[in-house]
Amino acid sequence: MTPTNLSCVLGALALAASAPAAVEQVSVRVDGLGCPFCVHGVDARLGELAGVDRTAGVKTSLETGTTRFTWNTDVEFDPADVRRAIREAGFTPRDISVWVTGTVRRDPADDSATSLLLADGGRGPAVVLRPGDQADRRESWRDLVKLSARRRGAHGARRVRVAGVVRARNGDSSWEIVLDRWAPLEFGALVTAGVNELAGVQDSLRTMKALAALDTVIHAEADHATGRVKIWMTGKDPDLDLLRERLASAGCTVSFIRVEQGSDDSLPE
Amino acid sequence: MTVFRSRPWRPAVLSAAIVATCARGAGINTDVALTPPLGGVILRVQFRYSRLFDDPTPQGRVVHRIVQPITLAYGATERLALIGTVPVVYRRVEFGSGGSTSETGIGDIPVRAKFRFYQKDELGKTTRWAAIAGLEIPTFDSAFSSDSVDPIIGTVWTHQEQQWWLDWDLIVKLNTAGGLAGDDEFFADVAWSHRIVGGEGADVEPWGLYGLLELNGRYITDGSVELFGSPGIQFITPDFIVEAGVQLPMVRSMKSPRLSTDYTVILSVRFQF
Repeated sequence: MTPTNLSCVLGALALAASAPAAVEQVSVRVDGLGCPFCVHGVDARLGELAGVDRTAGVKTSLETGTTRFTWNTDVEFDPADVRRAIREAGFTPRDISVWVTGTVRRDPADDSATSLLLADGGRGPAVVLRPGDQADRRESWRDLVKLSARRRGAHGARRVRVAGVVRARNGDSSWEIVLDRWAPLEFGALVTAGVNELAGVQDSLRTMKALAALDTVIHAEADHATGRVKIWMTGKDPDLDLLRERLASAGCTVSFIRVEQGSDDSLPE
Repeated sequence: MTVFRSRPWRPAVLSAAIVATCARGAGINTDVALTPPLGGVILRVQFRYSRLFDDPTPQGRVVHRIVQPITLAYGATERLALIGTVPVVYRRVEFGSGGSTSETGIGDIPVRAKFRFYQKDELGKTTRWAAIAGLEIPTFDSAFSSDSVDPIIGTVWTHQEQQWWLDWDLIVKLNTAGGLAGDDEFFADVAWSHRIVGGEGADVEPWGLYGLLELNGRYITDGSVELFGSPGIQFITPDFIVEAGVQLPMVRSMKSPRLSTDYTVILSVRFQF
C-alpha cells in the first residue's frame, strides 16, 4: 500500500471514527401543563432518559409550555424516547426542536448560501434541505442525527450547528423535519501535532475518536506513516492544553505542536 | 355515659377521608382527573378539624373531631393511579350534662383506582375525565370502623388552564353495614381555582398562589343533606403544595340522630416524588 493509499484509508477511518452529528440541545413543546405541580412529572420522566445531561437538568416552563434539556452527545437521540417519557408523565408531546452539530455540504447543483446538503453517511443519496423545507422520510431524520463528519469528496464541506423541528407523523413511526436555521462552525486554525504512538490503524482510530469528542474540532486526520495528526479547528486561538490532554488520553505522546491560521482554502477537500 | 351504639358520626368521619383522597392539584376537598406520572408517588397529609353540633337527641352532644387522612397515590400506568388513604381520627364528645369522652383510632381505609379515560391537551390547558372505583376496607376499630367492606364508585372531570381551573366529581359510597352506617352516601363537589400570583425564572421553578372556592355536597339515603361553601388558598410548586381552607355549611338538614357540621378547618401538604 502506498503512502497515498494509506492516507486515504486513514481518512476513511477518520470518517468512521469522528463525531457523528450529535443532538446537543432539545426543546419540546408539551401540551396540557396547567399548574406548577404538573411540571414535576415531566422533569422526572425525561430526567431518566440515558442521554439527558443530569448536571444541566431538565427545565420545564409552565408559561411557554416547553421543556428544555441538554443531550449527552455520546448517546444516540431518538425522538420516540422523548415522546414516550412525556406521555408517561401524563401529557402530550408536540414539536421537538433539536440543535444538531454535524457536517453539511453545499449543494453542488445549487451553491446559494441557503442551500445545504446533508451528508448521507454513504447510505443512499444525500438530502438537500433549505430553511422551511420538509423532509418526510425517516431516513432523512437519521441522516440528520447521524450525520457523519465526512469531508473527502465533499464540495465546500462545513461542520455546522443546525436547528430544526421534528414532528412525528403516523404515531411515532415516521418523522418530518423542518429546518429552521443553521450556523457554520467557522474554520479558524489548523493544528499539526507530531505524535509517537500511531503504530497502526487502531491507534489512529482511537486518536480520532478522542479528538472528535471536542466541540471545537471540525475535522482531523491521522497519518501513522508520518506520525502526524492534522486537526482543523474553530477559532483562531485553539486550546492547545486541551488538545494535548485529549491526545494523551488516547495514548499519544506529543512531540511538537504547530498552529497555522486557517482559511477556507486550507480545508481538506 | 353511653354513647349511641349506632355511632351516628361514623359516616361523617369516613366522608372526610373519601373526599380528601384527591392527591394531585386542584381542590382541597374535590377530586381531580389528573393522575401521578408513571411510577410517581404523591403523599398527602391533611389536618381536618370539625365541630359538630345541633344534636337532635336529648344528649345535647357537641363533637370536636380531628381527622388526619394520610394519602398515597401511585402512578401504575400513565392513565391509572392507585390511591389509598389512612384516616387517623381523634374525637372528643361533650355532653349537655357536662361530661365528655374522647377516642383515638383509625377509620376505614378507602382504596381506589382512578382511570383517566378522556384527555384533551392543548398549550397551557387540559381537559380530562376519569372514572373511580374502589373499596373502603374496614379496620374494625371499635369507634371509627363500619366493620363492612363498602364499594366506592365515581367520576371526576377537570378543566385546567394556567390562570384558572375547574373540577367536579360525583362519588357514591355504597355502605353495606347495618343501621345508620348502612345508608349510602352521595358526594358532589365542584372546585374553582384562580391563580392570584405566580412566576418562574431561569433558576426558579414555576410556582403559584391560588385562591380556591368549592361547593361540597353530601346526600345520605336517610334524607340527610349537607352543602358546604369552602374557600381556600394553595401555594403550588412542582414538588409540593401547601394549602388551607375552611368548610362552612350553606345547607344543613341532617336526620336524627346525626349531628350537623358547624365548620371544618383544613390544613394540608402534598409532596411529589
